Amino acid sequence: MFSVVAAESAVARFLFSGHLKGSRVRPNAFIPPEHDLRLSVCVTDDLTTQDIHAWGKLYASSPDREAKGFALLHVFDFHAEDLSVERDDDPPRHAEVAGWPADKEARLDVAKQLVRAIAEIQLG
Amino acid sequence: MTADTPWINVDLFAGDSSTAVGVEARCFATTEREIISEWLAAPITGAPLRDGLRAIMEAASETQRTNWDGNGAAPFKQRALLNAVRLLKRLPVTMPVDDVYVDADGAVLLEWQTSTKRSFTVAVNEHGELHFAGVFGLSRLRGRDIFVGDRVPESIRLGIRRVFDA
Repeated sequence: MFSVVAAESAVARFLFSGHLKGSRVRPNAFIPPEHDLRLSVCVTDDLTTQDIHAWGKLYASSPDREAKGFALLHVFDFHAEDLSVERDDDPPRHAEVAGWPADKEARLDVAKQLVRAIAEIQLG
Repeated sequence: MTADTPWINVDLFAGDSSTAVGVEARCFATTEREIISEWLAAPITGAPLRDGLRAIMEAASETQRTNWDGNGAAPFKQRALLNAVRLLKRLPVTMPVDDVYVDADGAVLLEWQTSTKRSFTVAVNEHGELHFAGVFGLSRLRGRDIFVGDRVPESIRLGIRRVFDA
């Protein structure tokens, strides 16, 4: 069961080493896998930066692959690209970006726009 | 490593190869060998191409294991990587690639960029399909093409050229 996330809410996309060139976020951080076309994010309303890092460590990282940080975007930035953010709270605060176009080049185009829309990057 | 393979820093992969396991490790070693062979066959090597190849190998090194993104991503695909190498080798040195990375499906992405407002990205897959998107100020461009044989599609050349146009 999904719930709608408010347009002004912020979400964090966790970043791994292959998503970063130095402190620059690459578009691949926002390209969903072809098999399900959904992108995991964390709804960060009312969380501190430390809380978000802790969420990432708990739910986004795996034993052999730790998140390097996260990028914050507003939900309205996804809406601007005709995407939706669906909160399922599994795990708590988890949501998925859905509504991706069928064509890969269109998804790449959208991902490049999302990189430009990043409001904040927190590494480390 | 022999003296006539000066472009590659074998130490770049030594740690990764020695700690990788099973099929993935063997695949990576095979890929490395194939790229080295292809490179040895190339008559001319310029610094931009060397940098591009090094970037490809770094991207492969980062994404050689399943779940490299913590979200179930596929490792880079060997054929995609080799197609990316073929593509780079056929581009003029005046079009140096700025960045190389891999997506969650194992495609290799080549990116040309002079600023966040001027960039062109090509996703190369294992079949030689090219999916591309560009940002040129307020303009956006996207499309797909196919890379077979020796000829880089005109759509790709034009997209890269637009990045460097003033």
